[in-house]
Amino acid sequence: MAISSETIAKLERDFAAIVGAAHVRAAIGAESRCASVVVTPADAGEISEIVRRCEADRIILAPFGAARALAEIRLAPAAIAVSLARLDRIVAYEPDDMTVVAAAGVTLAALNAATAARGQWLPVDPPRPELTTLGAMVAAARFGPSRLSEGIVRDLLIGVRFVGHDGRIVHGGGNVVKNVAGYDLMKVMTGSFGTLGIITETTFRVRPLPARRLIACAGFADLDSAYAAAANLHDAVPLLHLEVTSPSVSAALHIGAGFALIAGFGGAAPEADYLRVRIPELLGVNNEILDGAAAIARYERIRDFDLPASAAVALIAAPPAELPAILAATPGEFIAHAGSGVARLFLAALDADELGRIVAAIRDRARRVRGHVRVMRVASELRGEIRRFDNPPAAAMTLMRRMKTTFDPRGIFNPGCFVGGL
Amino acid sequence: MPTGAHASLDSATVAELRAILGDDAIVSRPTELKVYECDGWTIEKNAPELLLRPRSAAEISAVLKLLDRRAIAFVPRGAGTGLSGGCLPVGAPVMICTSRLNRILAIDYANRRVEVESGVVNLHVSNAVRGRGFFYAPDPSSQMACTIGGNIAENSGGPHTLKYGVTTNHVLGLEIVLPDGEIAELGGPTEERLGYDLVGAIVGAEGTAGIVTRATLRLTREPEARRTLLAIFADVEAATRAVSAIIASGVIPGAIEMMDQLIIEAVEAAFHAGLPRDAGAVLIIELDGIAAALDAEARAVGELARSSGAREVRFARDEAERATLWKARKRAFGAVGRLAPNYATQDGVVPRTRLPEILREIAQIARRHALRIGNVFHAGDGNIHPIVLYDERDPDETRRAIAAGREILRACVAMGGSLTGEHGIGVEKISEMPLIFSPDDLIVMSELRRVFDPAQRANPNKVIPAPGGCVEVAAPRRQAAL
Amino acid sequence: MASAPKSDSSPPVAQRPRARPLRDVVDYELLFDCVHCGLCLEACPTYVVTRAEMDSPRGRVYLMKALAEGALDLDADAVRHLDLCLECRGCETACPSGVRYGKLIERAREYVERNVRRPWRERIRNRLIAALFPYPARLRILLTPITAADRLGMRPLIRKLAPAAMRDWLDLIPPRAAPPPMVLAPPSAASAAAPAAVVHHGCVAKVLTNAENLNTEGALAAAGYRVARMGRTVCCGALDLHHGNFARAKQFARANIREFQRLGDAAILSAASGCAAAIAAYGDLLADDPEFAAPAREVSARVADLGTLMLARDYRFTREFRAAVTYHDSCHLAHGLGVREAPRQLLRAIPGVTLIELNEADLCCGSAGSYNLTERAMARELVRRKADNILATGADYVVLGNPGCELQIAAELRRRGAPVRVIHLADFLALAIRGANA
Repeated sequence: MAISSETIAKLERDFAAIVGAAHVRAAIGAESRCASVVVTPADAGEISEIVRRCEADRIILAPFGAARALAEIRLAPAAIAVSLARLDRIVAYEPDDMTVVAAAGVTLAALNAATAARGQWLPVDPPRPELTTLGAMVAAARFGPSRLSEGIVRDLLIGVRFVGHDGRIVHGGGNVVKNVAGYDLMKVMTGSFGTLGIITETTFRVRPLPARRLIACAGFADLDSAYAAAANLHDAVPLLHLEVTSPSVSAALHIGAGFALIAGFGGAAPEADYLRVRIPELLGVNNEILDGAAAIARYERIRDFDLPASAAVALIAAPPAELPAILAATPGEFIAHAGSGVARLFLAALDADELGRIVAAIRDRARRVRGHVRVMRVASELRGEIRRFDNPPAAAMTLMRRMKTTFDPRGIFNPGCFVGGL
Repeated sequence: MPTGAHASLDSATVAELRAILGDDAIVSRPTELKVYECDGWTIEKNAPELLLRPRSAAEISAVLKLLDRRAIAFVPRGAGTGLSGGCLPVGAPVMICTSRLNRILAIDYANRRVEVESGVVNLHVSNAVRGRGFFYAPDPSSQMACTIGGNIAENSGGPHTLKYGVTTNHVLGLEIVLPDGEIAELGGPTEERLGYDLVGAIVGAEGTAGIVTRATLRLTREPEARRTLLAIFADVEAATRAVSAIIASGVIPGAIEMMDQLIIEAVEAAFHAGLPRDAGAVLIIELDGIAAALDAEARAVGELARSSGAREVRFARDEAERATLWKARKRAFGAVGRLAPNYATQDGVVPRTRLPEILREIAQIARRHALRIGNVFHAGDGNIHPIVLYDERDPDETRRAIAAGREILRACVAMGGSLTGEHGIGVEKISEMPLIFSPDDLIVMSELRRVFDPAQRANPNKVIPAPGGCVEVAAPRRQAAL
Repeated sequence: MASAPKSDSSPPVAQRPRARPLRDVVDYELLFDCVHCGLCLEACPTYVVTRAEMDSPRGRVYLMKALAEGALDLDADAVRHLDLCLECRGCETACPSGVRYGKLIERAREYVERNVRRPWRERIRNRLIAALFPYPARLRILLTPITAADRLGMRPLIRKLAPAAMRDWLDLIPPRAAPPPMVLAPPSAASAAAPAAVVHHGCVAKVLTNAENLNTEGALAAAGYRVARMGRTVCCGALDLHHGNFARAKQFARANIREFQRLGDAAILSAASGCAAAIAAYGDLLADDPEFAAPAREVSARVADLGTLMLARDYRFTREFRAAVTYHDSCHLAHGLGVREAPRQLLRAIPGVTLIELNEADLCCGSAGSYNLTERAMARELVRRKADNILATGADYVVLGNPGCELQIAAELRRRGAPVRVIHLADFLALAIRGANA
């Protein structure tokens, strides 16, 4: 969407009236892929006014935290970006109840710094927690290795507040860990990529930090034996996380030159001590056990792992036992969350056509086992026409369309980049 | 909000339904309909005008298409074990019962999935996979009878959900017949959702999105071992301190259940589980995980209980002792049936640290209304189940029981809690919804409902109170209940 | 939302109790033990088959309550759903609230019989059952032509010619080709110090499965019991209780009680668990009888079961008996008397026996006294389910504790040509004690 400089100037004036001139600016860097103007409101009340204004004037907006997720999926910039940067307060942390209420602009790293003092954490561990705001984490349903043992956003989010159409400030759920009153708006907002409203506040249940964290690594010549070992381990003992990596990823993580299995484990002392002995037995040959700081460092490298030079990064989801066959048939490197049937693929391609063919082939294989693929990132020179999301089945798509038009009747919330062009 | 008026049932429609389903799937005579007039929430009663007992999603689809054309509202029902009147017809002449959709369709151990029809009984899922070392984690106390479809409607929990999560954490995909008769396949066998989380929106929607006919559920690996402890306390306060101490220590037990004195008395009368009748409260604590580590963990937990004031801690020595404790807990509600002709079970939630406060408040409410109220609940997550005893033949006592129930819910909300942890809003708590949700919240929720059911014909008048003076709307019904 | 008509949105509520005088359907106070939780549903064989609330214990209790309160009239539907109950009391095992369902349904049936005039076919059938079954001599006469036909190999022909309604009945009578059950040596005189036990020989059992009576006595003797014999045996009364004929049931009970009293403190057994459960309920049945209330209670308390008594004497099997065995819980043994583990434990104690657990082991097989003669369709459905479960175990023997179940299950397995042998626990013990392998 090309916007003239006069329009931009008008937008800046209009929104300055709501948030103050100091909090309206032109987009810079990656932000400019999201929008032309960045508005940084102070609270939900201002966001509500912004939304009403946008609805009245049909101005397309896109909410963002650090602008990373959004920059990847928006193919054309919106008129304005609503930055949650000033909604950065931890509202209430109740360590004894193990719940925390925090504004959407709080980063995961900041949240975990606050809870670590009480030996707790929010165990959703996407890459780069210092760059991940809670709002973005929820909206993009981001996750990390600990999904195996602790679940994902939808399992831990117990309350949500967002600004919806008509500027309504809406909340769902509450502050208690078990609650079935009313419709589950947390599920609705999780993974909705800013298309239904602007998340302003989140309430999570937090969990005890593992008293000890250890990591077992083992190298394998082929994918099948790595996966067989992973399945065997997963069946035998409780793990914190379980990854299988392709050779280049293994090498980058300094775990040999072949396929690797990485298993996190730990917990309280008796359990950790037992697993320290039991897991090497189960793995058999050439394994390495990391403990203490080395284990934490390795865990963080796995969590944050990236191959920045990739032409594209895709997320594949399949029934767990079907994933290895798809990975084996796919050119590219990967880090697979073996117990969950989810993998990040790092694809290489010369041009947009080749990338398109590769992605289409993976999509096809995933679809045959009722899985799906999401393209999370494409190198800027190849952005082209790569579809980010698979198409849901027709009946589901009909409901999703209704969901979008119900929650966003005027079509202003980050339109055009979600499933089926929503 | 125009919703399209609901029509009443006429004989031509009944004849067409008969043609779709056959005689044996239609129940229309008053004597037979009588037994469908309430579920586990018996204070309010209303029989449907017609009960349908279809065998498949295709039949349900044909039925709903017809009802949609005729603008007739319906209410889905599973086994009728709900505790909030979720399947009570309120303005819906037709009831559709899923109890005949009871096949387990596929068990996929490699992917830890099971696909079942929605009328399959919760416990039957676990029974089918136990031999291979798996179970289906959500375990409501009614699990020997309640259906997966009902669990999905209510987002049911259970004692072991402290560690393992509730229904919504275990439903990956489902097939639903929407109120217009369309069959939609949502979610799937993967752990990641594609597009909006429609499955997440339907689980817990109390049957207002349509009729779920099939579900893909996650199977959980049976823990290698379990240790079950019984900790005995002089009072509820000390027991609550123990709960906080245990959880703060970093241990997440499989379950922590509390029973107060009144419940202990009822349970002992029924099952002779060996609970001390003079105790003020007991905790049943279950730890699960690796056998080699559990004994040390159990000892540590036992120590924490003692240092929090437990006068005695007993360890179940074998599976039989464990089974006795759990039988006592799971059947506590029923055991209370022996103490009074009727009871109403509440389902409030408070932040765990407020448990002593809410229990004191409940005791005061009981005194104020001259009622007996017992407490058995999931202490680990602050989900209380006060059981208010009354005799339906005493109108005044019944009125007091209802009033006490409402006061308890208000107290929960005042302490930052919620109206329901696992039983659902149903008809029971619909008038209390404005206590925790603003008009804007309720408007958006009713919009969400209309995504699935634009004409609001699936289980009408549930979950969200009619706008404007909700509390008053429901009041005459309560009166009539007496 | 506002569109829902106001009158519709307020569910009218059940009639106030006591708006009308209570009808004498059941002991009204007992109905309030039921809290409508529904935990009984899947424990009820008829619900498991029909999956309809009115065929569940909770539904039937609800019907009884509505009948008692006058909210319902005793119409054909009410009668049908009460009739369909097997009285297996599986619901009592499941019930957390201690509802005395068996007692409720017996009373309700009496009310039905007092107030409903049944179609002539049913009347004749029920009278025949009542006139024949409690009297072994009459039953033997009835069976003479069938035994004769079997001798001439004409059973298949008779079966073919018989009306459909008779075929299921005919199938129940074991053909002569069945291997004669091993009979243990009659008990020899035991020391006077040994504990005493007496076996009630029943009526149908005496005619069709008398070996079970004798083997029960033989096994008891082998375990060191002093086996007493009843001078005169009359029907236990269970049949009449199922059919709402309380007067004759009480008459039978009194006769049996007098006889049991004569035998001092001997433990009372029956090879038919239905009879044992009926005797165990004499205390209840005659609670209001000034003369018999106390002796009835005393007799009821003496009821025991073979498995428990054998274990109590720590009986050791000396020979190996190699067999794959599964165990079916007869309703009145499991749900009525609460005997589940003892027979299993006893079977496991036999060297060479592998006990394979039966799926839905305690779900009624459909025999239920004379139920398989009066509710044929449901009885057939249940026995099919039972046979499926039995065949899935791959066992050679299905052991059980009631001749009714034995006839019913054996008939179905014969119809399928399945080689599984249905055998009473006492007969199986006889094989194991003698050490003969089949």
